[in-house]
Amino acid sequence: MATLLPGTLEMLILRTLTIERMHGYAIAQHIARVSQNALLIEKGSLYPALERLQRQGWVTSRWSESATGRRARYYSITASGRRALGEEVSAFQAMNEAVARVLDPEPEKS
Amino acid sequence: MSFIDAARHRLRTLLRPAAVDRERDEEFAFHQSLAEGEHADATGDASDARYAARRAFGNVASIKEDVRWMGATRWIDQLGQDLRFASRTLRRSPVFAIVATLSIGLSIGANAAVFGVINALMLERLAIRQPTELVQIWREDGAGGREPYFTAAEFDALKTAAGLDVSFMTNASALHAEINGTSYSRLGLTAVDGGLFPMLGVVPAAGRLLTPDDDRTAAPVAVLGFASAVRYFGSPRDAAGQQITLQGHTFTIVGVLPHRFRGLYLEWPMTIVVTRNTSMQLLRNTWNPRDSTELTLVARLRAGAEQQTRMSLDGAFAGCCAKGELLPTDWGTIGPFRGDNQRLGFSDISRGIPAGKLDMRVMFGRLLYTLMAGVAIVLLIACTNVGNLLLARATVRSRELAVRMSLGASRGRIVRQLLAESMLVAAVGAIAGIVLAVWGTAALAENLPGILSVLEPFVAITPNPAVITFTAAVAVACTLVFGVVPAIRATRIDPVVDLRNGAPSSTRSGRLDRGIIAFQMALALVLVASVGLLGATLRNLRSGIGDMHPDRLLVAEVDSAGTSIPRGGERAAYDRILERLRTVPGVSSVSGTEVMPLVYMGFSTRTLDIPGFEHLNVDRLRPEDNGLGAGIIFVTPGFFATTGTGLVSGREFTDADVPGAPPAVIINEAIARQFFQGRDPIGQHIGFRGGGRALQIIGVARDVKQTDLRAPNPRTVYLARAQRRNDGDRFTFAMRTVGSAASSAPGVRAAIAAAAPEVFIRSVQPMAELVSFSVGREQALRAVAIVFSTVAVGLAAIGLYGVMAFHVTSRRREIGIRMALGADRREVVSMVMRQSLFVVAAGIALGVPLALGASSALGALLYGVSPFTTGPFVIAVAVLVGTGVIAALIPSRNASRVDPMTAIRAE
Repeated sequence: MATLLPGTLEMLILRTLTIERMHGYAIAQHIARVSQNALLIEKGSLYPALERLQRQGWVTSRWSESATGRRARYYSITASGRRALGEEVSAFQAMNEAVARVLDPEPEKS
Repeated sequence: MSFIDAARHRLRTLLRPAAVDRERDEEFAFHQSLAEGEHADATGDASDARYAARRAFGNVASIKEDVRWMGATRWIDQLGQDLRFASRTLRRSPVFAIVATLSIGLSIGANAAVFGVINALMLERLAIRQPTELVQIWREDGAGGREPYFTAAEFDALKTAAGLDVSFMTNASALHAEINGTSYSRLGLTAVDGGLFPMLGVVPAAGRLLTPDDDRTAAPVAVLGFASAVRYFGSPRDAAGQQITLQGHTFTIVGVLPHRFRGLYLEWPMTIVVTRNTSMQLLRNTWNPRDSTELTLVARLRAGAEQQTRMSLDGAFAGCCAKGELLPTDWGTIGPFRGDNQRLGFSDISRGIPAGKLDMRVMFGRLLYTLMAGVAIVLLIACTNVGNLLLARATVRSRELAVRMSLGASRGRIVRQLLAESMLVAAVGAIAGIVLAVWGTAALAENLPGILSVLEPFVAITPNPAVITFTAAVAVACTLVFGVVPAIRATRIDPVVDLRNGAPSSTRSGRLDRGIIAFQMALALVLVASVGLLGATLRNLRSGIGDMHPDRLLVAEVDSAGTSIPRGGERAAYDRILERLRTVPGVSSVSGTEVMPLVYMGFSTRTLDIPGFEHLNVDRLRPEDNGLGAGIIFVTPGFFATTGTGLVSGREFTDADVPGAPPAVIINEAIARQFFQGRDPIGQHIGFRGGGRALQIIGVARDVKQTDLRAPNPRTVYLARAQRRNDGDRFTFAMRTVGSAASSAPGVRAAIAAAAPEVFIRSVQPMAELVSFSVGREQALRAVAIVFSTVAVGLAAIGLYGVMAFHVTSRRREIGIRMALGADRREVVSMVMRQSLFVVAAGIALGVPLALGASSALGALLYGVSPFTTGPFVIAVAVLVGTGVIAALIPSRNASRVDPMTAIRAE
């Protein structure tokens, strides 16, 4: 299982929530499924991350009935969360490219 | 609005922790049940599934903890980290840590101590139930005059109206008393209405307090003040139940007042308290409350019923007393006692009854606030010094900080870390300071010199909430004063530049450094100048008793009141003592007088009758002229020679001035100046109004202050004791000694006891002690000012030295170039000196106006010096310039020893 860089988990959660509002378990499941089980989110990381996101105002939560009829807390992304996601993603991509260049440098022209 | 969502979320976490917690449990349970379901689907085993899911979930409690504390812990954690980091950093430079903590600790301690005294003396309310409800009742005449005294009959009338909410106290005394095997004469007592203690709501330290029942039955019971109980019996518990004898009656001590309640006056603590009727019936000859007007009335205006109580008191007073009906007949002529339309006034006494001229708050308030300003200045100097040290450290550490910033530490975080260091220093300093203050003031309280000893109960401070709050606030203020600027400056660095250069350029912090030193110099100037002003004040005050050489003048006061000496027998006893004293070794001459200057004892005043001034209307004179009154002092032959009072002209009394010889008088210069302008008073006859002019002036004595060194010279006439019929109860012997006066004191005591064993010796002390007692405030203040200014000058000098040394080191190369280009040593030395003196000059320019302001604030504490007297300022400026030169000596010598070749090659 890959180790996530700090801040990446929040980005993944925000991205996941752009699909629809979800409860915590569903978020973890979604990330695991989409990453083909490469990213298994520990609950011990998931809920603190959700708490951080709420405190930043990027995510809100509401209690409502789940598919099985039980009460569950559903998280949804806010407008500022979407903005933040955009910035994070582009920063992440820029970083990724930089890392990629370091790992696999093109020959320098001198 | 996402930030509102965020705020609501945080608020809810904060305010409804239980609900949030429950929801968290539910959310986790939901998560777990879904996980279990999935696992069961995969393996088909439910119990195994639950176990696996729980294992996968991890420790529920710890996750919850993580979520819950995420917000709060971040900064608490960081603070903890910062403090740990700070303590590590400080431990790595122990000299800085110790110097900084010690200087801050000492000066915070001094501030805490002075504030503690101010709090106890000036700010604290009486330790009674609801002190703000307590008022004193005044008698007002409707024309602005008011008096605080009432008669017992008036009190009874008011009490009928106001019930338990009005009460009184008054001073009484017992001529002789016996307590725990020791005899006392003229022991001060307090007589109170039996309802006083219940009204005040005072809780006894031991036993019980006086009640209305004690008053009604005139029971022979008394209550002791806390300090008296300790003095006489060791402790309140031991005092309760004991018996004492007051004027032959046996009294039982039923209880002791609490430590924190010393009485309604700060100045006159309750020592022995009896009820009114007890005092009237058993101690009758000292105080007669029936026609005394000396009752001090106090009342409790209960919250919500103030108006009602006031009105019922007013109404009762109007009915009984408004025309002075219940005043003794001979009292109807003075001020507020005279009017036909008298009424009541009320004043807040939640901090005790003011004692007029003797009020300690008036006597010491300015002194204390001056001291507060002094310790604040010292603290400010200490803070700037630590600030300077921090600045220097910041310069040294700039490389470390640059590394940390380039590794991604934010500037705010580094500022916080540096501030944590300052905070740690201030906090440790504050704790040390409080401990020092409590310990120091306890030691000081027992060794207060002279008049300051009356402050004893207020000086030993306790670490009460007010003092602790004050100290904490001071510590925070200190952190801000010495921490913020260096922290901000330290982080104003460009990592790239600083990492590359290694050391910062020297000019960056130079100007700030020097500004701080100049500021310290200015503060030091204020303190040095005030030492000078106080010194001049002391000299002026001491000269008030003339040329007495007070350390070789011994003064013994005796009293025969209440002793077995019969009325009229005093003279024989005192003559025996006079004879005996002449034989005491070390005593070269002896004289007798009623009173010596500065012995706080009243002496009689009569209106002079002087030729040419017969028709002067005494009532028309300005109040400061004191009518035509003059103090009268009876003295024995040799008084002026023995005491050193001295004569301006004429002769002093001799053994020939006896009854039958022409009555002789010696006047002082004040009288001669005022009434014999230019004429020779010797041989003139004067007298007292209504008594003829039988007294022939035989001499003019030098002016000597009698009771108050700050008052103008009082008019005094001296008469021959031999020409008086008898002596009074009290008598004073003045003795010139060969060696120190103190060393002859035991011999003098023994001689008095041998010559007249029945006489009570009130005191035997060198005149110097009486003088010190009188100038105690000024002396103490000057002593403190000397300590403060030494510290201030020393700190400023060290700071200046540091700056100059740094300055020389960082300019070695430049100095080397100058010298290589032909500058000689003298020029280099003078360059450094100029720099140093420039800082001093800036300090003086800033300090002189400050010192002028400070000295006019000292105002009433000074005497005979105008705040603008130049002497002390010139001296202070000279001291600072000298300091500047000394501080620059070593750096300038180092500068002159720079070898141009090495200095230039070095970089």
